[in-house]
Amino acid sequence: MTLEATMPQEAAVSPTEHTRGGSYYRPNVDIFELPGELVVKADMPGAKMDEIDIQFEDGSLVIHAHLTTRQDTQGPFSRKEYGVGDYYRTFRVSEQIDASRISAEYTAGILTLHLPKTEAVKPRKIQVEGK
Amino acid sequence: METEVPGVKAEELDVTVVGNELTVKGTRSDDGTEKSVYHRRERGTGSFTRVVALPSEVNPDAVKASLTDGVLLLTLPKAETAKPRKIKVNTETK
Repeated sequence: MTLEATMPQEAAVSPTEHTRGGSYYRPNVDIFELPGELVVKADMPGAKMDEIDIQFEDGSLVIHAHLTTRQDTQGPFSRKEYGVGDYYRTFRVSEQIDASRISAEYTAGILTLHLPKTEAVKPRKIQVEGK
Repeated sequence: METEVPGVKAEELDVTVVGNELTVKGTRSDDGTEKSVYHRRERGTGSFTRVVALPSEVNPDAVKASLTDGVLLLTLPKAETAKPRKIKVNTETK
């Protein structure tokens, strides 16, 4: 009787450049892997929930948020360290993801995406029978 | 004054005003899972402090602060002493 151990597949997430024009801000992300899913957390302060657009197709994940400028100030800036604009970031996900079960949540300026792995690639525990 | 503090809760923010000096302190705790494998780690965690010299003195009792979607917005009305006061010029007729 042979024992076959299932190795968890390595999830590689590589960035892709986008070629569209206009100014976009690239949100900082944390990406980590749990046994059943990939989790992506992106810092996107100032975005509105209904203006966030997430697409996953053919292994490409696209995060896009349209922001209306909120810095319509009533006067000159004495300091301006950042701008306000759309967020955009895209990733190539080589992990097998069940797209129909992707979920997203946006709170306190952070977008959290759960990308569940397809059943086939989850590490499966093999029961060892004794005789 | 506006600053971006995603993931920081209102109770973890400490905003103080003394004269024309504004201090914003806060902490963001790690909301990830320690047992997981990170493929990318760009977001910081931990404490931060920022001290800013404001262009004029403000009235600390009238400062308003709001936190929405990770954006902290402070409205700091200028102190009375800092507001420009119009001086009336009296013309003397002889």
